[in-house]
Amino acid sequence: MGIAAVNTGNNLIYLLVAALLSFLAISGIFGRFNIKNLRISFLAPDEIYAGCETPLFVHLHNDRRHYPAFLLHLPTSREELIFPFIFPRGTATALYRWTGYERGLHPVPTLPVASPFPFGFFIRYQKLPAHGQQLTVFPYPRRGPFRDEDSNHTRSRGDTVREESGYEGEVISVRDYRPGDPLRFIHWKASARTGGLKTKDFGLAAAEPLLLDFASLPGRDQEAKLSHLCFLIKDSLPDTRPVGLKLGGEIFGPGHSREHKLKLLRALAVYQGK
Amino acid sequence: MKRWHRLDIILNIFTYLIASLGFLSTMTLVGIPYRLAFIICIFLAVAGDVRPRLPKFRLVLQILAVIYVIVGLARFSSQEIVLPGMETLLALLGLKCLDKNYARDYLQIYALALLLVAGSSLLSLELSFFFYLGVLIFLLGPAIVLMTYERVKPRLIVSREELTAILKQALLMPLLVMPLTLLLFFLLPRTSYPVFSFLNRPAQTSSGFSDQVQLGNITQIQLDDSLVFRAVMEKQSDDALYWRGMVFDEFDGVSWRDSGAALEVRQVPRLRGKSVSYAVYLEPVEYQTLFALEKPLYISYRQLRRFDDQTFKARDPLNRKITYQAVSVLTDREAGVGEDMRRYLKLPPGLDKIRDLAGRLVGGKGPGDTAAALREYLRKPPFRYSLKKLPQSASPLDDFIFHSRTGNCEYFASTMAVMLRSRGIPARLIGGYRGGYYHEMGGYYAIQQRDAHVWVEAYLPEHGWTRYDPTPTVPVESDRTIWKQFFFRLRMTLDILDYYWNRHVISYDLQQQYALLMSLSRQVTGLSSVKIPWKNLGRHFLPLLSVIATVIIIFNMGLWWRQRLPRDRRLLQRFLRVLEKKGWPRPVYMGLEEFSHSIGDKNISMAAREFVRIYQSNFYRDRKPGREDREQLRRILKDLTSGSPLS
Repeated sequence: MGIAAVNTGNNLIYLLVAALLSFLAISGIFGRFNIKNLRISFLAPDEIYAGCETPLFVHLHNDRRHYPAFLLHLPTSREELIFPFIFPRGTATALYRWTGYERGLHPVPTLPVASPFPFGFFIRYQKLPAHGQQLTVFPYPRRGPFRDEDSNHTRSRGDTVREESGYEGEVISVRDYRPGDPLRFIHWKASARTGGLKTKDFGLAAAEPLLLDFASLPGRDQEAKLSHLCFLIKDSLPDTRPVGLKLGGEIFGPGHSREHKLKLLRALAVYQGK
Repeated sequence: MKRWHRLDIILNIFTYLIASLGFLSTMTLVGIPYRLAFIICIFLAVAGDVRPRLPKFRLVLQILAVIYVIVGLARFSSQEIVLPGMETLLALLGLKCLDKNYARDYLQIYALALLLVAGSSLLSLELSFFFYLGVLIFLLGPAIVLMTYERVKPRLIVSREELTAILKQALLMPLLVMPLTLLLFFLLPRTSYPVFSFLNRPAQTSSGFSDQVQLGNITQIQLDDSLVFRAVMEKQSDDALYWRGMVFDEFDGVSWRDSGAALEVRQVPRLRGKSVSYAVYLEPVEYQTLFALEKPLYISYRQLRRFDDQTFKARDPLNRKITYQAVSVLTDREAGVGEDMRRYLKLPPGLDKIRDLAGRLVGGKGPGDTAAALREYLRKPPFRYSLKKLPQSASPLDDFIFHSRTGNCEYFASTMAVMLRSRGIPARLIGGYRGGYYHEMGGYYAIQQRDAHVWVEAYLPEHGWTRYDPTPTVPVESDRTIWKQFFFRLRMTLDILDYYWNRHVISYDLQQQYALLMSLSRQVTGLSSVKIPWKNLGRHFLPLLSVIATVIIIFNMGLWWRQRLPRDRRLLQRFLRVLEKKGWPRPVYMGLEEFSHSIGDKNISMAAREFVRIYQSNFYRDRKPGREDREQLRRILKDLTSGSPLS
């Protein structure tokens, strides 16, 4: 059309060409603006295992005060995450399936944000920094060659008593009554003897603590051993039986909570070896 | 309740609007079968959208498209390229509307509509093009944005708020495109020799004058309101406004003709008087004549021919809008350049009665006195100017002088010229325009066909060619009713739009571009030496600045107003702020209820619990607190701030 304008000398076609060029220019400006002031953050599950596909929540934040974000997409190797619209100062979320192939600390994936907005003539890309966020990838949990000696075996050893109060197991002490204690746990004898209400304190029914020692595991392949340790911890915690860990020079005492489990797994993930 | 919208439906609406605009821009130009075909296509396309189960016949549509293209190609000729092309494009546009499945189909529709609008500019140069272009730009913005959405995520459903934001953005773009378009238009490179200018079809021309004046015939022109040309100049005195066009030297008793005996000359006549320089914007006409104010000294136009009777002709008919510069000297005399005078004395036989009358009227007077006396004779009663009941017979002049005594300028001028020739004074008729409407705002004269006029030039030995207008002066507005006058004024006021369109858009060329750039560069280089008049700056710019500032403030206030929280949320914020001041900030992870219970101060905690109860009783029912609740919330807040809660 530009050639037509120059060669016919028709000013109206010039006008059309000018309009088209203006559209191009304006679309460039709007497209550029559309991917400015965006921020990305990830919400990862607590447990990520090497080689396993993990869903990550991708939050795309539009930090602009007045200007919405239109038609953004994050091209990843397997799928496109599309965010049709984000209000000013708003956030949109999509699910991103991510796989960490090796244990350790991984920086969050750097996803470029792209947008064909407004006219699809150009696609603009911009890399979005996710500020210092890291994903901890645990070793892949493998039953390994030690299956018989350890995992199944330990279960059959029977219960032991844990030194924490609960309502099962044996009486481990007698203490003052606290409002809310069940009536049937009141130690009437002791109450009569002391003149104040006393309550029986019971131990928790629990398995015998398991102390895992990296060095004592057979085999030479460090990664295989870590994988197996990971399996054992994942299998036992939380609450099945307390687990402790000896890894390199570090010793983690037995524990049974979820936090403890994550602490152990994290230690496996970042273990450097000798 | 949230309302949801499907983007593809809205995209279709915009697409049909754009297609229809392409159609409208060419509707009056293309043939009826094509118009009908297009309308049917659009109708079927809409029906297909409303009921998606209707069969689509894609193959049939594609075959039809091919047939249309072949027929269109077969109709191309060296004479007519654009129109068959446009008709084919229109047919394709209609078919494409029926068969649009992918984003590229939509783009094709927009391209076709754009080509149609562009093509319409080749066929006519109307101001309406600007309208079509403007609307097209405004529709294209949202349409292409929606199409991009459709391509990335087909059949996307969005909420009303999202849709509004998307459309607002999409409409903002055309608003910015408009001024940029104008800027680019003036800056885009031009050539002085367009190669394909033949594609520009001649515009609708108006006939106006021809090379002969038949008595009684000019009447049609004098009832015609259409514009002939505009002349940009300062206002001149009314009796100087004779726009010279053609010279008629041969009379056969009924009509005057241009014998073609005038010679092409180069020399410029010697003229005395006030000279004016002006630009003429001529509308398309069928003839080659260029008009200029009497007496024309010089006209600047390419390949112009100048004749010894002081007329100017272009090589080709002026069937496009053109512009030329002219210089005239405001005088009614011109010495002449030594023409052969014999042809200005010839008379047909059978005019004896008029000869006798002329003899009786001026017997024995010199040429100057003779001409003056004849003019005065014709200007006075019983002679009357009229456009109705003009004598039309084998001898119309006799009828006019001796019987009806009513006629238009042709009769008066013919009579005078014949009488002058009968007395041995060379005379000729000049055809052109008299007067014109001066447009104060635009600073130009608008000359309409109805201003067409014929007057006489007599050759006096002492002065040369001298202008005589024997037609009685008629008050210009006398034949117009009040309504006609009103509409005339209105039309002339609106005429300025058309004038600016012609002047700044249609006739913008390399030369004007160069002039514009030069003046810009002069102003830029001149800036450094300009002393800025601070005093005046304050006077002129402070009001402007304050207006801009006010607009910005109002805009920001509007934004703030729109973005502020609802009333109940604002109360809650105040509540939390008050508690924070009292030393009880709410931890982020804590819900309101938990927070109100966690406050250590018993009194404050009680008040806070009451506040939270009222607030939540509304919030979880998804309703806004009523007036009573609000009052209560406010009271609690007041008690909290004054430090005597629930006292």
